[in-house]
Amino acid sequence: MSDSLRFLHAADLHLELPPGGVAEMTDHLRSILVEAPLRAAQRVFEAAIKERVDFVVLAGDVIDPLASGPRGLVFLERQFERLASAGILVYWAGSALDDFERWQDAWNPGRNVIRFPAGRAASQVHRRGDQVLAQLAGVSYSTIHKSEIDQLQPARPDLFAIAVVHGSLGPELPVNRGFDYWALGGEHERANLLSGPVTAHYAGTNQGRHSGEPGSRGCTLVEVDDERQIRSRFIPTEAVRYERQKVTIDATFSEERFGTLLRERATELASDPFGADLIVDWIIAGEGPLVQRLRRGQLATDWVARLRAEFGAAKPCVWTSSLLADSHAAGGADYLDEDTVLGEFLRTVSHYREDAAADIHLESYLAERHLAGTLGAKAMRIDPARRSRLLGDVAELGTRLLGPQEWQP
Amino acid sequence: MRISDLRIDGFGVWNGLELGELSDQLNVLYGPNEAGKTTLLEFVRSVLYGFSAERVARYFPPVHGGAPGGSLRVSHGQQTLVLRRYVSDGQENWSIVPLGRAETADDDLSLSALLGDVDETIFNNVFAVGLREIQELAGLSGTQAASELYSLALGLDRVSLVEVLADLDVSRDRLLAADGRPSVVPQLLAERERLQEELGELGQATRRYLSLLGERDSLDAEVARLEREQLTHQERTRELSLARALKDPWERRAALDAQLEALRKSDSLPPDALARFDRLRARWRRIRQKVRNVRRRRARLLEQAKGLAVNAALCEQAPRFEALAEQQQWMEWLAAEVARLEEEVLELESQRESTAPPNSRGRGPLSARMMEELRGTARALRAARRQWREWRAANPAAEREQPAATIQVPAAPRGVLSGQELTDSLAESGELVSKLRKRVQLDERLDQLSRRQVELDERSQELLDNQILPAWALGTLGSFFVLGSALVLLFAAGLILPASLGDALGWPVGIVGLLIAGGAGAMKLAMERGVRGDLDNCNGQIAMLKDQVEQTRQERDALDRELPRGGGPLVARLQAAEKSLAELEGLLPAARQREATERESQVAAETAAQHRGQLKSLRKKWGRLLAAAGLPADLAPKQLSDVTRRSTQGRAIEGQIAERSNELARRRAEFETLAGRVRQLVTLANVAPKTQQPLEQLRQCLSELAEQQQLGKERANLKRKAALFRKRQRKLARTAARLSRRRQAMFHAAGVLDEIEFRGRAAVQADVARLSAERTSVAHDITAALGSYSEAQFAEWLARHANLERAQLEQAELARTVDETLRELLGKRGELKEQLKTLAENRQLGFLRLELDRVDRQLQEAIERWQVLAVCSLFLLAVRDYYEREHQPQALQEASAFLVRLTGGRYTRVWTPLGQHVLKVDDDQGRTLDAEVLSSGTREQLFLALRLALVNSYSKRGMELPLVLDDVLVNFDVGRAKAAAIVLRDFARHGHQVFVLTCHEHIYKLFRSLKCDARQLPERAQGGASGGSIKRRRLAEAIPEPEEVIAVVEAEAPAAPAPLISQPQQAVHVEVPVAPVKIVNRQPRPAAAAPSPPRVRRQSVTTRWSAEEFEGELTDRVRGSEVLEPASPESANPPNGEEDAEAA
Repeated sequence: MSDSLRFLHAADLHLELPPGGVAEMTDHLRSILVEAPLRAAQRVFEAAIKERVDFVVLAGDVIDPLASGPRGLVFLERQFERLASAGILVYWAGSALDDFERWQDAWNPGRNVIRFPAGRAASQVHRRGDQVLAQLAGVSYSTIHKSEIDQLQPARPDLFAIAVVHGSLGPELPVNRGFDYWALGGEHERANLLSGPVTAHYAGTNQGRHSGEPGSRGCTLVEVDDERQIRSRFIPTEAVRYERQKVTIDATFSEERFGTLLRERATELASDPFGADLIVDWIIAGEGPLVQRLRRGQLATDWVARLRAEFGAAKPCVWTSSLLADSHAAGGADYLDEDTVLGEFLRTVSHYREDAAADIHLESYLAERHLAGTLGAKAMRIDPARRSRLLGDVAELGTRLLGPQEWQP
Repeated sequence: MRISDLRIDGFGVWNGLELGELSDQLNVLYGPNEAGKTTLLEFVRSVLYGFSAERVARYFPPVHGGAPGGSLRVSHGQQTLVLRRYVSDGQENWSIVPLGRAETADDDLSLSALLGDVDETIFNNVFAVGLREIQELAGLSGTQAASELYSLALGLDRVSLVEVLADLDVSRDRLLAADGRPSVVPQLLAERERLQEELGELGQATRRYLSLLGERDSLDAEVARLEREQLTHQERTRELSLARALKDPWERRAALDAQLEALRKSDSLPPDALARFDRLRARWRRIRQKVRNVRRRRARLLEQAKGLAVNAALCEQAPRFEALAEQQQWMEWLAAEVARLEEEVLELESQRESTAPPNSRGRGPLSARMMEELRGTARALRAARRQWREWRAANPAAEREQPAATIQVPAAPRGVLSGQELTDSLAESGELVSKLRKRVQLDERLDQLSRRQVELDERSQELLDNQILPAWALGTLGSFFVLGSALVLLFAAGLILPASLGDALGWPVGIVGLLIAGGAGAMKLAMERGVRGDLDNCNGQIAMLKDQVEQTRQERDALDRELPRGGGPLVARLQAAEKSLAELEGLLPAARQREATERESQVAAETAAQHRGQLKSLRKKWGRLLAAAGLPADLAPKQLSDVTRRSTQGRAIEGQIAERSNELARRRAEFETLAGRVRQLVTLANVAPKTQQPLEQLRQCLSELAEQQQLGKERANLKRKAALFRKRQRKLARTAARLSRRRQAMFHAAGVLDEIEFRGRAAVQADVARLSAERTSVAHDITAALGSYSEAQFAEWLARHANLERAQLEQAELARTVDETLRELLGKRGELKEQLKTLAENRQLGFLRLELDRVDRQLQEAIERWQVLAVCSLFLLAVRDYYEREHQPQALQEASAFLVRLTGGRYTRVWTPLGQHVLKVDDDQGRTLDAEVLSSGTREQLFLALRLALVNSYSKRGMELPLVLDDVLVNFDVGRAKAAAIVLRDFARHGHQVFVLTCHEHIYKLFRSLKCDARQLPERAQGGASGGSIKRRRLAEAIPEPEEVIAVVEAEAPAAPAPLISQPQQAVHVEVPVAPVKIVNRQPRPAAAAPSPPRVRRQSVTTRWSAEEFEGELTDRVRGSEVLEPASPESANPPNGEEDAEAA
């Protein structure tokens, strides 16, 4: 290889999946969320055109044709047409979601889109004019051959080699396979599996889908110089961003000062008029009467409504999804040793916290017809990951119900 | 309090009943039915709490007489008291008297302390109960006794656990009801299922879209095929239409070709010959007309020039007049200066006349010498007169005698001068003042000349600068010159190139160009000449002015040489000189007087004759001098100073007059020089002057000169124009001749002789041209209609289709069929596109997914919330069970112990659920039963146990009252009765005074068998009254023990003595079927485990409990904890367990 190379690595566009995790929303926010996957994907393709890349690599989970409907297909066709107008090829390794086996023949996204075959490793050589720049090898998901990654081999060792794969790989797999860059998909968090002479990179999703995926999301611009040195740069593309804002207050905080602090933070979040719309979870940490009132719920509900009214319809939209007092701060440890009902209750909770093997049986609270169905299974299932938080909530609720109410307004 | 004696004077059936030496423990009083046991019970109640209206109505008046009421002897601590209560005259009287003291009335406080704040209700339901009261606890509702039974020791947080649990149940059921009622989670699940169904339906849109895409592609292919076919038909239709439309033009073009071929044989003229001939002819005629016009205009110009008369002499003198005109301003200034100087001279002369001495008009001022003589004579005369008067005053007799030897002489003035010296000084000062004034005037003159010279220098510089014309003038003149030259060149080009623009414009352009160029050049020369003349004149004035300045400077230098050097500025020196002159003139009389005085002092001694002679000679001399000076003879010497002053002023004015006159003469000479030149030129110019004033003459001549010059210019201009017209006339004539020659050449070329023949040829040519044009048009139409087709193809169509109309109809039918098919397919394709567009723009899928996510989120939140509530309920139930098990009220715990003993271990526990005022009983099988479902015997056992526990509880709080039980064992079988008797006996042995009233003999015997204090009540009928007292006696002695009863009791007695207060039972029967929850850490943590902080005894400020309730609870809890201290069964057991065995 004698020339430098530049390409865009994106994955997990999920055009069929709007951002969710919002229990209450207005029509305005609903519209924003429905459009968010397309807007975020559009930013990916615009970045490719703006950065004048040689090609775009899509590592799966781009679109579920059934779930996205014709609108997603048409959108994707138009974006591919734009790339074609700019002379940019697209190399696409399909995932189970993309399901090339079913749609390969039924839908033709365009001549500039090269889809790696399902269940069979294939290789492509990318040219810039007459000059050969790189080789790309990839495989798409197949129900018959679930893993063909082992078949991936670069055809020409003299060329910069890129493997395009959707799926979880162990860090040992990409080493010594002859590829210089592994364009991976399937993980929504952006991550480097390997870095150095061989780079294995998860581009992550270009748009967070729920509050568990906070922060900026996007794609990766990869630049390879004539010495095969790889440099990558993150390009944010999200249309809607999830934010967790922690606000720490103390006993001296009045409600007015608390409100001012929230408004200042929200105003700061909305300071970029061209930025993404925001869905914010507020976590109020600290101690004091205000935190106690927030834990009781009504005050928090009032402030959620105020923040939504003030910032929910702005541009960009700052939508308050929740406002919770930090439950970890409400341990009720002060009452644990008391010879009271609350003390006894908290000791019981503490016992179940310490003994993870102790089962909690909730069958007695379910009707017979629910016990047999999925609802019963859902209601009775307490994930180990959630058990601690559940017991924390139980302790908080018990403390609120049984404890003193010194700060009753 | 314990009752030791009882006396009833009159109460119900009792009269004079006395029960003495009552036991501090168990007292059994046996009496058959109607024996008055209940009356006895009511008597005890009445003595302690008063005769209520009900009791009064029931028991009074006593059946058997006696004072209504009675008394009790009680021991209270170390005291023995007597309680008396009687009714007298409807009034209740009672007293409490310590034994051995006088009676005291109405000591309410003492009675209250005795009863330990136990009110009548509690006493009636706990301490003094009959068979009816013992079976129900409702009477205790709201009393402290109820709280003793139903209040669990819940610690200090004072929350209503039941309410909390109920709230949790409501909240949980609202989310997910356990009984399957409508709630949030099932609703959300139903909505979720609905949304998923909708999503499934909408998910088919993709398949439909792709199917439509395939359909659209096949339609596109079919449409493309039909469009191609349609194009073919259209092409053929167009060919046929074209063939039909072009058939006639095609034939017309062939006919035209034949006609043209025939005409071209006789066409010999060039194509534009006639037009060229017409143009040539028209031009020739225009040139001829122009020649005539030019000729007429030239003659008119010459006539006008001849009519303009010019003064040649004046014009010849024009340069000299122009030179004089430059001096015109100078002459005007000179004339003004002469007039000004003449006015000044006249004014000075008038001043001189006004300052002349009186009576000397026309003589002029006196000479200095004459003035000196006059002054001397006057002074001498005045001195002589004064001396004479002084001498006569000093020597009044001097005329008669010799004059005085000495005469007073005035002091000599400072700077003594003699009269002659003073006179000389006065002359010198006067001359100096005159020279200085002249010197100042010379400076002023020099200043004037210098200013004038500067002005002339500036004017000269300006004229010098103007010698080079300004840029705007040069530009304007140059532009005109270039324009004129261009016109001339254009004209010249016309001569050389006849077809050019210059040829068309002709002579007038050339002439106008020449005039413009010449005029511009002449204007430039005239302007330059005028500037040069002004400069020369100005230089002449400057030279003249320099001469005058030099002359004035020489005069000033000569005067400076005469004047003394130094002394400061001239004006200051002049003022100093004038001042010095005035001082000298002031000193002159004093000097004369001094001389006269000296002379008089020297000749003081001379005679008066000499004075008179001197006076006389002086008067003669004075008169002579006056006559010589032309002054009046009566002029007094005192008036001489005025004459002197006037004379000095006159001399100064004379000087000024002389100076002005000199200057006037110079100005006049200069003016006259210029005036002479004017007059000379007027004569030479042959101008008739209208006035004799040189300046006016000059102005007239200059005016006439300007007029003549204007006339000359006009005449020259006319002549130039005439010359130009002449040149143009010649040029036009030449052009006309040339055109004539060209016309002949055209005739020759066409082979004709004249114009008529020429025009005949031209007519033939016009026909050819018309036909050619028509042919061109037809050919153009054919070509345009054919478009891309060639004429060969068209010729082929014509040959192929013999019947064009029929072929066209057949083709149209085919095209219409294809069009219809295509239109139908296009419509179908449009519908497909619309469907595809609708599908592609449908966002419903996204909204449904979002809605499903929202429902999932809400479902998850609801389930999580439900789990929190359920777990919270679960834990709280466990806590409740623990509290119900471990924190039962102390009274119930004790009652449980009594119940075990009373029931022989069949029922192990009596307890109350949290928050409910009900009692439950656990049996030895672990079952829990409501108290209401027990048999009446068992229930009476339970209630007896409760009463015992309550009495015990009150006793522990210091409220010790006797327990009176009226036939409460009546429903017990033998075994129960035996157990109850033992329990009562043991209870009494623990320090409680118990009265058991029974109507059953076996019970009486039973108690007796237990070695209790058993008595038999007297029969009421005996003696009409109960009468007499029942003294204490051992029942065993009085009534033999029934053996069979003992045997029965022995058989039912428990195998082992049960403790009086047992530990709470561990087995718990929970009503709600929940999974077991492990309650841990219920005991205080061991100190060794961790240095845990001391437990906080919180005092809640919640609104659920009042402060009083809290205090009470705290007290109860403290006492309860004391009771709950781990106690060995031995300690709980009565110490007389052996006695039980013994009794058994």
